[in-house]
Order: sequence, then C-alpha cells, then structure tokens
Amino acid sequence: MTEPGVLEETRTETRLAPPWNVVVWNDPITLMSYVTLVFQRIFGYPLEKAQALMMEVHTKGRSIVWTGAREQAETYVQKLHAAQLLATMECVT
Amino acid sequence: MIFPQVTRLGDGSVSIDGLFPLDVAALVEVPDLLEKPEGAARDRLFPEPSDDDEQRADWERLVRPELFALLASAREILLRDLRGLGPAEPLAGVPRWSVTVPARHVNAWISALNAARLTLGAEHGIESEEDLHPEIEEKEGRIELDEKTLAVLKIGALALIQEALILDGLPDGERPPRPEEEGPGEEGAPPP
Repeated sequence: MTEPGVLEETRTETRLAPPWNVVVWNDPITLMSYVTLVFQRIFGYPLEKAQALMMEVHTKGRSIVWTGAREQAETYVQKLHAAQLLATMECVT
Repeated sequence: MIFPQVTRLGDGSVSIDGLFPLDVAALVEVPDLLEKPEGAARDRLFPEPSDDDEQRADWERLVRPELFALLASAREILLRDLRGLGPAEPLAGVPRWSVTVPARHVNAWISALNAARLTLGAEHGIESEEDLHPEIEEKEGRIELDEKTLAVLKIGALALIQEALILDGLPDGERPPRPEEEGPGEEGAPPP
C-alpha cells in the first residue's frame, strides 16, 4: 500500500540482448588461402583483415571473427559451415 | 613450372592441365568420398554450432539439410565435369591429363575439393600438421605406402589443384594474392 503523500516510483529497466561471438577454429587441412577467401566473401572484410584473422586462427588455434546479434551470428556460422570451416558461436557474458 | 596448372580461357572457363596419375587418382575418388559422409567425416563436414543442446537440435532440423544439399550439389557438378577428364601430352614419359571447368563451376570445385580433403583427413585420423608429413620408407628399392600415408598424398594432390583454382581460376577481383605478390614476411598457403 502506498502511504499518503508518497509518490510510487516505477522503474523500467531495458536490457540489451547480449552479443555473440562467431569463432573459427584451426584445422590442419584447410588451406590458408581458402580461409582468407571465405572470410572476405562472408564478412566482406578487406584482404588485410581477412589474412590477419586467418593467421590468428592458424597460430592461436581460434579467432573471434565477428561479434554481434545472435541471429546474425547464426547466419554467419551457417555460411562458414557451408564453406566447411570449423565455426561455433558463443554468448559474450 | 608448377603442376597442375590452371588457366582461364577466353570464354571464362578454366583449364586444369598437367594432372599426373596421383592427381587423377585423387580427383576421381572425390565423388565417392562425398556421396555419403559418415562417422568422423560427417562430424567434420557438418560440425555443431555451439554446446547448447537446443540450438544443436534446431541446427540438425533446420540447417543441416541445406548444408547436405549444398555439398551434394558441389559433388554433382564435379562428377559431371570429370567426364571431360582426358589424356594430355606426357611429360618426360609420365602420362598427364587435363580437364576443363566452366566458370560458374569453379566455386563448386573449390568447395568439393576442400570437403574431400577434410573427409580423407577425418577418415584417416589426420589431426595435426605433423600428420601431414609422414616418413615414407623405402624397402628393397620399393616405396611402401600404408593407407594413411596414401591419404596424405591425396590430400596434398587435391590441395595443389584447389590452391591453383583459388589463385588462378577465380576472377581477378575475387582471388587472394599469390605468395609472391605479398609483402615480405607474410605467409602464403602451407605446402601440401
């Protein structure tokens, strides 16, 4: 019950959906030139960025290649799987 | 000169020349490898999107059928084009073959070759770069290859064709630079 003379305060909190990472994992068989080509085609990255991400996959075993909304992340993972890259998505917590 | 050699022809189609017997043996096996991937090959070609069970179930129901269809389409295109595989001029007595790929089929070839290499790797437990460089033993003047080593050689042969298609078979605006076109210190594709 609200006391007389005291205004009830309503607080609305809007939470943004958490972003998702698209991760590409290294495998020993897929060619570096092919991975670079796929990154350019799927994400529209310029050659230098595509090559840098490819090298990160190659040297570190994985690379976060994109971060954003879940639905778009799913679309990207689907395209990466169509190109036979090992790709997963993970929520950024 | 490096073989196989890929040349774009005037009509946009692509000629793959200088295929040696191992290249041809690996190429004609591709349609069989991709016909019905199972076990480790299936797991590699159609990986899970995440560790979330609900998403995995949705993926199996909604996405995988499309991925299967895409691979089947690439396999069918390569199978059809391989009917044009024919003998070419021998080199130093070694027989060679060539095949022509229509321009609109080049991406399907690149994809099918990649999938075939991954399938060979998955089926033979090739999990590291060391596995791609086996020691080949010679016994009494004969080279004896076990199945895994033969698979590695086929993976390498298909890599050369795939790489040549990427570097020389795609339109100029789409292809990555050749290793010699890159600046110093940058890496190109690894050797097969």
